[in-house]
Amino acid sequence: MSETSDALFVAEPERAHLTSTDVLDRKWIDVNIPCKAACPVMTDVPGYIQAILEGDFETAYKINRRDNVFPHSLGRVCNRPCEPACRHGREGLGEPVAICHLKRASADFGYTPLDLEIVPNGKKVCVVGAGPAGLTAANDLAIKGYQVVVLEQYDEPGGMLRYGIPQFRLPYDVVAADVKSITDLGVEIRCNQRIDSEAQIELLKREYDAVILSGGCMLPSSVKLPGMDAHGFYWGLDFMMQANRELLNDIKLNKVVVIGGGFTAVDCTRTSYRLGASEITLAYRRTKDKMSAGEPEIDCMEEEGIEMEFLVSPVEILAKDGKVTGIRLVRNRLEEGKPVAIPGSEFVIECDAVIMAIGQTNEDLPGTKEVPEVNEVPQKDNFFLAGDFRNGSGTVIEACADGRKVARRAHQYLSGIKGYQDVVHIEEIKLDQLPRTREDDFIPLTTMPHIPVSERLAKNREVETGYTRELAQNEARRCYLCHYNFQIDIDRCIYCMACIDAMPVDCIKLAKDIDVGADGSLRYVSAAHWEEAQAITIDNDKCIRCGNCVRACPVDCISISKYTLETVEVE
Amino acid sequence: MRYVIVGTGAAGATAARTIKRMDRDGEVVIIGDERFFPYNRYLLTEFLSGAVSAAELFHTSEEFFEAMDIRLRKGQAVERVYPNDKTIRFAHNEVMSYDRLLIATGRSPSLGPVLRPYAKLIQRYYTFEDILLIQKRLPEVREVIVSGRGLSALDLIQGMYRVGKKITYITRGQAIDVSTVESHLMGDLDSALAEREINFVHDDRIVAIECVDNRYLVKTFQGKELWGDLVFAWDNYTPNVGCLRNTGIEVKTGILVDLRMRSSAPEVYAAGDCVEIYHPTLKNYWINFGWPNAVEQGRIAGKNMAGDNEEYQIHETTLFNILGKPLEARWWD
Repeated sequence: MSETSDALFVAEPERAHLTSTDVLDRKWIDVNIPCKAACPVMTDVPGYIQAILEGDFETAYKINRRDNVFPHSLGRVCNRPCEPACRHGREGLGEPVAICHLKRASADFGYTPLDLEIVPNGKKVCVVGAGPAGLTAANDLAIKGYQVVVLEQYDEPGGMLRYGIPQFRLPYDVVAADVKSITDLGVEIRCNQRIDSEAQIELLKREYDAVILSGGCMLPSSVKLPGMDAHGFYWGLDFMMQANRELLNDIKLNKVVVIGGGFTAVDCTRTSYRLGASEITLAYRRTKDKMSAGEPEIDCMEEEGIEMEFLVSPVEILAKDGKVTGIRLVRNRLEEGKPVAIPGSEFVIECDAVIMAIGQTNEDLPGTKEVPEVNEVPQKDNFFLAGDFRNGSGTVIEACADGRKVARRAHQYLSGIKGYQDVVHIEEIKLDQLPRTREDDFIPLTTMPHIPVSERLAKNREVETGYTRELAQNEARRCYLCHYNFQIDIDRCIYCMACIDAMPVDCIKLAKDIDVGADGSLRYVSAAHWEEAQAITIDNDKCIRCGNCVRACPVDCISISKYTLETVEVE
Repeated sequence: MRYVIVGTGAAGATAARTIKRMDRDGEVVIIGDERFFPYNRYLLTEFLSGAVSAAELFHTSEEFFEAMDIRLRKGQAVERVYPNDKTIRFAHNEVMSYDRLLIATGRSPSLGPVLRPYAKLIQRYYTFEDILLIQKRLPEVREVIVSGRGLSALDLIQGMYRVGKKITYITRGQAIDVSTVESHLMGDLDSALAEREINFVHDDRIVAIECVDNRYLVKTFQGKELWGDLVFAWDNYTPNVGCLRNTGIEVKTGILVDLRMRSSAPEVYAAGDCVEIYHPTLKNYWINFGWPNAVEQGRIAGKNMAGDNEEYQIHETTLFNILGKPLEARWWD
């Protein structure tokens, strides 16, 4: 095994610790650190939140920079799969921790240029597309010593971060800060370089040791409705890209209907508002709870006065003299959760613009469809596919995860290493090192400050203004720090029940037996009476890491250990 | 058979009565989150102004529930429904099973994301408890600010006018926004508002509220600063469907039901202001709020829960009808 880049980013304190490759320990992380398990790049969420809690924003930034590469940007626009998984949000426990806002705070207050010792290996890699997948791959390969050149078709790097998301959610300078952090590693980005033929790709494959194609997913989904050729009809991503390139500043919008329920649809409504539209309606075929846009973005949209119509689908764009005059929609009912048009329910909304934001697809680039999958990565010799171009339209963090996976595969191909292995570091913790107390569980969610709604017409002004350091530390206190594993040493336990008396939730169990599954999952066979109990155990899935049980134990038989995951190369 | 009814309003109480008449041996439990016996919410304004007595407000009593052998659990909120387990969980974590469940939780004024941070500074006007609180504060109140959509705004303005308060009304549109009122009535409404010397702030909305020396400073989107001794504000009246969140039961704004008042989950029915039904004349989903409708839907839901098979007849009128009287009668009486 060899060191990965992890140690280059964050220096771990020198404490006695074990390393484990046991499947049970690996499974423990998936079950007990659900935020991390839900993150496509497995960001060490409790690790960086604990750093913020301790006021060490720099370490928090470095953990994020290592794991997800774009802390400034993702701290604003990540779709936050971690938050629904957060144990603080489970029934009866309150709201999930604002993990994404804390990521932003780590970048706002902890950003520091990386000072990595990179040893060049003499090999060259070309990445096509400077979006999240391509830049993540470039970042990871540059750290491994590759000379990386990124070719970008537009005039600035960032892909969807730069052109698909409005500045009031993600300012350009924020994207630029994340991109600079990658180019600081020696990655060269060449803009206005479009690669769209097999011949060009063949040339690159000869010129470079490896080529990674991550051209994104920029074409609108193929839906055809009458009237789409009228002036005033836009595809969602086109609309956003034009707005982000300042090409719509002179547009005259009055009544706008946006079709869709995702982030781009919501961005289109809010951009229309800033471009002067007075009546904006978002029309979505399902119900509000099925919208894929995030709740905070939907809240902001509502704040800005945008109306919503649910259970409706577009039928026809109405036009007169070549200009959009309205849209005919039909009401849907739900049949086993699927929207089905109600006959005779058609109605018209008058408008002068219709924006169809119902998803994107990738370009059909010759020679890319035939690339076979090798260990879940599309690879043909030294040519790889990554990101949305390969997987279809997805989220930023999914694109980052795929960029990382492909970079690892490319590195394996070029360096000859056998592969990768997950290693769990287990570090013993003393009670006085545990920063949590039971009182922390009652801290309410810290809301994100916003600019007033009356100042939202400023087109590019960022709406979310970010936590202060104090707000971030307050929010960090809410985290259960699920990377701590509390265990009872049965051999020393005297079954006095003091821990059970002290437990704040149903987290300590008397068990007749504990079944361990092949994948490391645990199932407790609970004992109705303590006389039946063969074991007393802490259910770490319920444990809120308050330390009450450790304090209450008269024989000091409850241990605390911290679990962190690292992926290492196998040579 | 255990019938559990969540909500003690017109729909819930009617359903309980209907079920008991059809299934004498059935166990009926009706649960309400307010501390009082069921009362007529639509008479609260009249009660505030003294036109209606407390006795007229409460339409049920302890004797009624005893006589009908209906178990009333008041002051207990239902937190969550588990349709797969056929159980409900109370806010105090008690779990109760059901064979058939009726959700009749009504709807209430809700605050959107702009107003939400100021919830503590906003006086609600919805429950009997709210009215008791307002009665207590009224001697100190000279001016009130009202901002909200719908007939409830009219009702509140009427109530405040009757008790002699100066009213500022803020609305997003050009005129009072009462979409269910037929257009020929709108002119009359406007003149009625003018006669009451209401300070009418149109094309505007509240964006901030501050409490200064026990008075309230309201800031609007258009930059106005208005003072009041009480602020009543809401964005919409929305169905109370919190206990159905993440249950898989289909909800648009209200609970989606068929004409037999069945929700998308087996053995779960819904009735009254919390449901939404497709209305073929309107070509839209529709919450038919108001007392007569709640009674009607509660009766049909109760019958179907007890084994009947009756369909709700969608009325072909959109004219708002409250307490069986048309709007004019309520406004100009």
